[in-house]
Amino acid sequence: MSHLSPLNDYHKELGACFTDFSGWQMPLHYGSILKEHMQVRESVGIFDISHMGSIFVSGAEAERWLSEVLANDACSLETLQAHYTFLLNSDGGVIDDLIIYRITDETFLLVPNASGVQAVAEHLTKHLPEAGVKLENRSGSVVSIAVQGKQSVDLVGSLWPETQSLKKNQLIAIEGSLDAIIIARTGYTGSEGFEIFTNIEQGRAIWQQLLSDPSAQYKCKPCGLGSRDTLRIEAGYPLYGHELNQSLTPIQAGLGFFVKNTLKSTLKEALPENLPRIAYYKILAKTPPPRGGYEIYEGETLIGSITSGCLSPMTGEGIGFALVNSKICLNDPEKYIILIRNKKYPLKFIKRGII
Amino acid sequence: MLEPKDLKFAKTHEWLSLEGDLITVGISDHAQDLLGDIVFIELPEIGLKVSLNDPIAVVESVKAASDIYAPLEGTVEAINEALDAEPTLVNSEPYGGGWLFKIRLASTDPASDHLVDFETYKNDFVE
Repeated sequence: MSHLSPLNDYHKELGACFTDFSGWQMPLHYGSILKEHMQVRESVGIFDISHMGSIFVSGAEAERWLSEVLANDACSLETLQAHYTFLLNSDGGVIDDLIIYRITDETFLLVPNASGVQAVAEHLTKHLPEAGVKLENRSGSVVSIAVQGKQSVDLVGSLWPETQSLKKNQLIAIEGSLDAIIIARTGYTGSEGFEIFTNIEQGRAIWQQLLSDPSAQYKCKPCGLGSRDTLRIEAGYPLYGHELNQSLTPIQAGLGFFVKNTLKSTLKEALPENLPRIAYYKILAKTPPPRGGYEIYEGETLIGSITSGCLSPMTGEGIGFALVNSKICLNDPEKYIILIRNKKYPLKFIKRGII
Repeated sequence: MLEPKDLKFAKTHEWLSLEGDLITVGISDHAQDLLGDIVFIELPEIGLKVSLNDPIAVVESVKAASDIYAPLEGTVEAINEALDAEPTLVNSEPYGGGWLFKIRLASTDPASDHLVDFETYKNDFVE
């Protein structure tokens, strides 16, 4: 029996086609993945991301403790700011990637992936200090909505004018009638946007409010996990289970930027020359969509395989991530080949993201 | 635009229409709906000799790749070149502009017990 989002009945009414995602029945699309993708790139769409975890950490020692257990430095995070970080195992492999939101000086919200909630909660509980930190796993009883697209600023601003001045990674906590509404200028699509976290009752009302838009000015549409995936691939963002796992360090995943300096040096020292690493590719011919497992060659030598891919809805190009077993050259159009159903096509590795 | 009631269907969701010994083949409305947005179609070479149930084309949506099987034996005589630029025609007009290929049949009276009419297809092969 899969978990249902608190918004599940609304998705059914909207005609969603569902998929099982990490044990949650979530909308894959509401008719067309491509249209929902373009909806976000051109105007504004909303995603139900209530399957993601919500773990609240608070107390006088919260900041110090989180700086120890997480890969990034929570001390450097100002109040009402968010940043991307990792929970690492003892070998430096990624237990999960997550966003941490500092709501007050002593209160933090951690949002891990649906697939990682249990592992993150267990790891944190195990390492919880005897005093000074309170851990509260509210996953499943929080409604989380991502409002994404260039018109999101106007749409969210029409409901909460105080969000207009938020810069990237900033957030505010607004007093709702029942519970706080946390609104952060964050997202995982590569377009401008916000993520909203609140209790179930208020969250249900907000979802309906965003879609109702009485002035019909923004024509906001619901979008599913299908377009969330193609959007994050275009933006060059990794997905846990594809580009991140327990046996890859953030350095190998190309995400050292999000690791505090002291830890980065330790991880780098432990990294031999030829460990596998994640790279971003673009196919240089018209091809079928690149899919997980397709092989990449340098000349006749197999060097890796695809971890994520799609035909970019924006440009039509085959793009995505691959796991390769050695250093690669960026922007060399002649060296690499992808094999798709026994046909060879040229491919080059590029800096992450095409938008 | 063809009427589904005038077509024959395979349980693997291909449809075909017969004119003399030439068949036109596509995929059912149900199949395109299951696949979702189609982004790439690989069609057979013209002149290819095909046997019953040979996988001869691939229809790919954002999420999945699906083989298309020859519903009868013969030789590929035409392919729908419009799909190269506009694969979503299979979504928007599954029984019209979204046809895939035409096969000149090897026999004018092929064994076709495996093919069913629209009603049977709907009742037996569509959930």
